Amino acid sequence: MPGLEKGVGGTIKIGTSQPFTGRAAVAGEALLGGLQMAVDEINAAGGIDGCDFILAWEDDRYEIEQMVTNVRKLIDVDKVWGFVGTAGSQAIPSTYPAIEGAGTPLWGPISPANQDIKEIYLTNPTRTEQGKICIDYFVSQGAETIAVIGQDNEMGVEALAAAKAQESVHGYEIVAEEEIEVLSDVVAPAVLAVIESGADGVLTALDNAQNGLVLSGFHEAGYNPLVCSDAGSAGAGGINTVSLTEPEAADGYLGALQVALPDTDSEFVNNWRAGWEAYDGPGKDGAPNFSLQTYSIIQAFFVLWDRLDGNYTYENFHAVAETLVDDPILIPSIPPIACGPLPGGHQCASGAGVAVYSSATESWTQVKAFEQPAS
Amino acid sequence: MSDLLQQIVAGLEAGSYYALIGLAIVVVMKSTDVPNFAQAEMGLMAAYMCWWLADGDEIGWPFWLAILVGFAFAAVFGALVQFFLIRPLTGLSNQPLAILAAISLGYALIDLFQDNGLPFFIDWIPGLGGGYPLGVSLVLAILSVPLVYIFMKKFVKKMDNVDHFPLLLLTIGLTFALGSLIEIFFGNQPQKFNTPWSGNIFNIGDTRIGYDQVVSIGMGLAIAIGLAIFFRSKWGVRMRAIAEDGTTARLLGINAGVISLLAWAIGGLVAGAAMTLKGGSTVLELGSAEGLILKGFIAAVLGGFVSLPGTFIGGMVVGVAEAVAGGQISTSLQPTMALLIVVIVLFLYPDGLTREAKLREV
Repeated sequence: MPGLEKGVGGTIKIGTSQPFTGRAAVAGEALLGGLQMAVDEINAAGGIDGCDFILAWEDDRYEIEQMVTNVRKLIDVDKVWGFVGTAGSQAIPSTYPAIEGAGTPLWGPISPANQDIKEIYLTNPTRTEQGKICIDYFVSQGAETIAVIGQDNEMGVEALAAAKAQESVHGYEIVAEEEIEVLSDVVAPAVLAVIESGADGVLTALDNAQNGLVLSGFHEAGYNPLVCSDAGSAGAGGINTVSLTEPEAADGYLGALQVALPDTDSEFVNNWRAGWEAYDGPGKDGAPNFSLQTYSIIQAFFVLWDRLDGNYTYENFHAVAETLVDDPILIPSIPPIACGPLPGGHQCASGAGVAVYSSATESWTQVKAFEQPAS
Repeated sequence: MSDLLQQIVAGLEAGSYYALIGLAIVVVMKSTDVPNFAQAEMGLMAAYMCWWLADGDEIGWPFWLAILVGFAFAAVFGALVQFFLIRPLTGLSNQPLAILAAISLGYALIDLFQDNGLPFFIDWIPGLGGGYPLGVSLVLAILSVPLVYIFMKKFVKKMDNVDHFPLLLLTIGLTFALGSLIEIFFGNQPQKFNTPWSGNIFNIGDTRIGYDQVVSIGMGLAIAIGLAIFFRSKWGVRMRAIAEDGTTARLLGINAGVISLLAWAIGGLVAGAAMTLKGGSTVLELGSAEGLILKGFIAAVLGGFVSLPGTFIGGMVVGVAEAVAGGQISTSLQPTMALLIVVIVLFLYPDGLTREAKLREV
């Protein structure tokens, strides 16, 4: 059991599994970079209460089997104290038995939603919640009909759940529910069906390339609905999706925000930006918007570590983490981290923002502050 | 009505990619009698090459020059795969593989000797630990090349009795290897491959048609007709003879090695064209080939793995069925359409859609 005895500090090894290679590498590299950069910074600043940190990382290529292998290896061989920032919503649930069995905490931006496992702490709003925020924005812009295009997996399920949940809140009509196969470039049937539906707002839960193709399809047809995707799917704050379509097609594209835009003018984000520009470690080639996400998450972890007051046992970690609902961790770039006891309390963050892309300035602008979905 | 027409056009475009990959698979089947699971990945390699040559931020060659060189690369690459990897497993010489392995390992050893000295199990010999200067590393690597060559010649036996299973495994392994190579050479980010016709559309009534759709469908048809003509030529007949009965064909004086090489080159070229067209119409990404190879095989199954017209029609039918079912019924049905068609066709026509397919069994 890698949990530490009461009062034992020293060097703390934390683990992460990310897709550094393969089709999700552009995100995975930066997610790693954000973590490593923060670890380097905290160590350079003298650590926390006598503890310094090592980041142990493995490449999972965005493949489920590899992520499970990585997590087991990080637990059994590397003896990590816990996991931070591990991403990959399609694969993470497969690692839960290993994590639960070892009792190793996981602190990360995980979707799908909370499964009420003691060791799992979700530090970002789920895709469902981001979808709700997108739809709230549609309605605020006068949308009365909504369409959903999702992959035929959990991503699509979460988007549709968001649309159905807000339907009763706002009273709009869902006029199309379309699916696209994972990895498929054949988006035309879904695009044509949505065009035919004439929806005012379209919520998509696709990969970056598929989103680019959908935007192109709408643009070529002269159809201009509000289109919004969750943060990873839209690549909000970066060029992951908008670079894959014509500039005019991407103009006005909306992305939910789990984390502040990378060009936000705030002390926290300015410091991160300066650090990222100077950073030369692993993951430097990734998309900066993803780097800020894990950088923010691990900062929250460090604050929590400080609150453990030298008692680094898992029991104390859970005890302290579950009281955050009374005294949340406030990191300026993300919603407050306010974990509580189970059931339900390990979904620690709620609320998302919305940003819009402008092809004229080639930049994203936040148009909706971080808020809870309408209910 | 215009919606249905729109869906059919979209389906024909997707179907042309399925058909072209299916045709490439069938061409290789006709010569080597092996289902090439790496066919789409080989095509993706060529498509990335075209993008890399043409993209303004990369090499920036004129579009048509890039296409010409990229397609030539596709054919040569297909031939190289056959020459170095397939030959030993089809009863032909293992010498090229031995040479390739020896040279590759020699090249890798230069780095190894420079960075790390000799491998751990012999670096205990006094004076042999640690790295070496480039000159010494080069000499050591060159000296090791003949040893590796002899080893490969001796232990990697050519297979006198051609067995499909190792060939099949080889093409599956090649798929993964090529995926990694593409990532190493061209990066892991999806790329927009702009063509002269990208984004241009015209209308027929209320139906919008993209020029990229017209080019893809037209090229698919042209390549299918070209292949059909080729297989009626002297070389085409030889290719079919090798596939039907390699031993007898060789006894009749047909050079199986050359025929097989030619087939892999043609297969590479056709797959390269398919993936380049698809990349121009959509985007190029690492997962593109994964999504397409299954549909290509379904098209080939519908052609009984023999018939070029059957494969072409099969690919088009699958594409149109997916699009129309997705548009008229539900997009949830779309992924299952291809498999549904295969099941129905195999029940009704177990040997494939066309008469030519049946002739193989006679």
